Amino acid sequence: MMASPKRPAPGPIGPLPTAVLGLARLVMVLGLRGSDREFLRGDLDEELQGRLRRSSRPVAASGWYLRQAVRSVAGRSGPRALHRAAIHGRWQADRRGDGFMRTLGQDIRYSLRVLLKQPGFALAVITTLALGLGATSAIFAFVNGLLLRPMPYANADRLVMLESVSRQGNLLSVNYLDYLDWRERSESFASMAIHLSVSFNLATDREPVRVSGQMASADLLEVLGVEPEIGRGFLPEDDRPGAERVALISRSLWERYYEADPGLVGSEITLHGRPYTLIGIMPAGFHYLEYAEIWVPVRADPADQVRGNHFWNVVARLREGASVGAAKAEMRAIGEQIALENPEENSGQSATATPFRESRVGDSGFAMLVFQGVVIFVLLIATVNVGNLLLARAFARRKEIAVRSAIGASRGRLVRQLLTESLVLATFGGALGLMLGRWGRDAILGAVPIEIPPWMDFSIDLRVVLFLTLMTVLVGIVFGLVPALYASRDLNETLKHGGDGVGGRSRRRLRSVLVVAEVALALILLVGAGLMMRSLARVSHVDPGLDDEGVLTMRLSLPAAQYEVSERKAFFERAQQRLATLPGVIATGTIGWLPLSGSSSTRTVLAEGFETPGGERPPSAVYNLVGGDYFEVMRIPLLRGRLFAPGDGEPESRPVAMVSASFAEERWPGQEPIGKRIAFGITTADAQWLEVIGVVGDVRHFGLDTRIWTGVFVPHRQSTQNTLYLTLKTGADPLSLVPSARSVIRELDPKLPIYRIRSMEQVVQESMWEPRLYSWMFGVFASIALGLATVGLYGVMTFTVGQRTHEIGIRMALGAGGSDVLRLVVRQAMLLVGIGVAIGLVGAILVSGVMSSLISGVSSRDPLVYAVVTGALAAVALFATLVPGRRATRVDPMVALRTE
Amino acid sequence: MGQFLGEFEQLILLALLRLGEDAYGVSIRAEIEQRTGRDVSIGSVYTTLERMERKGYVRSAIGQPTPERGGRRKKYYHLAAGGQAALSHTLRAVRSMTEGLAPELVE
Repeated sequence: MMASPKRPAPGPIGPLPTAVLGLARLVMVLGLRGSDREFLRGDLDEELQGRLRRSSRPVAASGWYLRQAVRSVAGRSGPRALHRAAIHGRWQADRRGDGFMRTLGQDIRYSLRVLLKQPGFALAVITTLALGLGATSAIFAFVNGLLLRPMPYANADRLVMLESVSRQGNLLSVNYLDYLDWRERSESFASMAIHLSVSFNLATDREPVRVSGQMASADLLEVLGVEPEIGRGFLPEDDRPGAERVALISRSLWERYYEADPGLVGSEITLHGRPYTLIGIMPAGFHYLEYAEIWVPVRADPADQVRGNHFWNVVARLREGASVGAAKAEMRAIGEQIALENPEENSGQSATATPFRESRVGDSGFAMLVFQGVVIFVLLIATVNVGNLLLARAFARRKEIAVRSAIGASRGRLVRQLLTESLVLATFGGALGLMLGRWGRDAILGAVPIEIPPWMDFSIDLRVVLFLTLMTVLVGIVFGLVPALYASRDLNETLKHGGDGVGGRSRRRLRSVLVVAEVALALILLVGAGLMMRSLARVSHVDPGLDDEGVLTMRLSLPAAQYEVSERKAFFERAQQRLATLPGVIATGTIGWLPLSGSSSTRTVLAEGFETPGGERPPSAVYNLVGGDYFEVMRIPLLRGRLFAPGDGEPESRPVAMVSASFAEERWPGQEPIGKRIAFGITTADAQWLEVIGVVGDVRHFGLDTRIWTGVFVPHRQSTQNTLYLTLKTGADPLSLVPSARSVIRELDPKLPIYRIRSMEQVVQESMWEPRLYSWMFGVFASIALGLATVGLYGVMTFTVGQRTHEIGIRMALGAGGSDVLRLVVRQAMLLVGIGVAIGLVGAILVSGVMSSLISGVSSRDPLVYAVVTGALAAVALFATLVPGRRATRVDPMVALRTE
Repeated sequence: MGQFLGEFEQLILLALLRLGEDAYGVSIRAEIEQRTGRDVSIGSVYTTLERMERKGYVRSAIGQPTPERGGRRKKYYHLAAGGQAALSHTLRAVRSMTEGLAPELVE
């Protein structure tokens, strides 16, 4: 094609018309020779512009365009011209050894015209393939984004996260002193940095905002291999205790709040009410770790640090030549050594290194790999279905093919032509699949309620397109080759028998095998979907231990610089008093870490009279700060003793605590917990004892699908915590209270950002997003699989009944009744289904094990799921058989016998 | 004796006459649609023109690319002598067959 002077600026016409136009152009590219295509496409584009200008409906205009393109290609040459071309040009050209590319072009155009003459067939094949390929590309976009796309750090595959490992083998955050030891003793790393996710109240010209950030040691940027775009990074002296406060900000924050003012560097910004000197702007896209937009140095004094509490993250870069395996081994040895040196705090602990991507992606990477397997199954079923359709068509075209062979086409040439047809079909399926895939990806992303880290990019990039192309070609060859080979076999026999030909039995056997395969694959997917749904049902029915109805939650963080400890307490109490006066508010309370919200604090708790075997450190519990009528807001029942009263937590009063039922049971089984004492820490040496005054019901703090953690509650007034959740109970829709609650807080402090505003119902629902999303996805994929398998079975049975008309006629002439014939057909179908189900069940048992980490509360071999799924599949299969079966009963013996 | 033209061939040749120098896919289609109310596909216009070109009824010439066509060239068609003759021949036959029939048929 010639160079174009200037393309007309395509106006925004929406995704559907764009897709339709793309499809039409693909039809023209494949179906027309270069110059023909140029004139036609020029005409169509010219008229399309006019239509788009005149009418405001791009959908109608693009539909017109597609119809014109299809008709032009399909009507290009009539059947007679096609035949002439076949005889004079195509088949002879091959013998003269014309160029491969030329014959390929001819084959493609010829294929497209043949296909467009049977649009129903082409549409069935293309839709089927598009479903399979669409699902494949949607999931691959996630696999690509999570596991394949390079991360925005230099040589990210050399980065590792270092973590402590508890006695039970769980990964723990890092203790600052442990980190200093790791740094000093390890040999595997070129650099190592410690950091902690924090949020800042950032003062801006407009309203105050809450911004995610990291408190990090000075060498963080060196470890990550990133430098500020403007200004400088952290220097070692910035990180010393008492050093002047400095900060780095992300490019996006700089653009959002400071109009990308380059003069900003060197000036002051206010974080949590304190001035920080801005020393640099990070490059676009840098948001380590995950969402951060502000970075400040740690400025920690090791003398202030104690061993035993774990809340830091450590990232390190492997030294040249060091392997992850060696780093893991070294960390383990160092961790164990530190545990020996500090038996009290670190007993039983060790340490480990995890490749950075693995540690960031976690379980979702694995889940997406499972789904990649799932959609490959769907694609296989689609392929089998299409293979089945093509087999039937190849049978119908045997005569045409035989004639071509007789006038000089070699078998290889015939196979190539047929294969080209299937590749043309696959190309359209792939193109449509890419559109479906994009849509599917958006649907999945829309169902993810959590913020997705900016580095996870799920766009349809070159890698996704290449993968889809590869799958498309593979699928095209797989479903095309067998029918092509089959159709070009024994052509002389075909001619002799007037086109009917031999091989009926082997063909029927082949189609039967395909149906069995479809049923087996569909069953495996249905089992997977069943397991996911049962797991979700289990989780949804788990009692969280609280009543989420009518509860509004929001988070507030008081800047420590502006609020003295006593002022913090006063502020939260004043806020609750004011909120309680709002119409419809029944109760108010505060809580330090809201259950199921992903925030938590766990502490090691000593209990009076409770001894750990062998002097190990005592177990930990979920620690929480309670204010106001929190337990009433959440309807968490008081089981023993009393709730906190206004006097509790005052400096002169006796320090008190409440515990959860499971805590009381764990520490003082069968004893009266009220009046017992607990303390935080590892040793009783200088423990601050708190008296237990009440026991409340258990709450599943970490999620409905996790075990119950024991809990300990302390009055808010007894702590200095400046970040709390406010909770309100109302009889109405809690979200309707948001504006008035917001203005109450504004009146108290207009500079205070309010964030994470959610109803408790939302919090509970969002905590289940993964099982919910996964079972939804599994359900969709399994439904597609079931639908395709049903259509496949229906197709084969219809075909078989057609083939057996003669036989059925004889049977009926000999006295067989309608029900006998129906039984005959159904029995044959059910035999295939039975074999498929048996293979599928074995396959499901073998494969479902990989799902066990995605499901909870249900075994991957749950007999109920297997039984229900098998029954449902059999019922659907039976239904698909009844239509052709009933058709068979209406065979008129006279007609059936006469036609033969 | 010349050959008689098909109905669609007549429409296209008449459109070429009307359009003169500016006869190409889009304008031919538009001309037929405007005058007869028939929505014909561009593909069938080209198929028919190509057939008539083989018979020597029309000639084609390649034009210049234009921006509204995405830089693609136009293919102009002109009536050739053979086409002129066949068209007159056909129209004469139609006229002589309709002569003297009720005027309402003509209108």
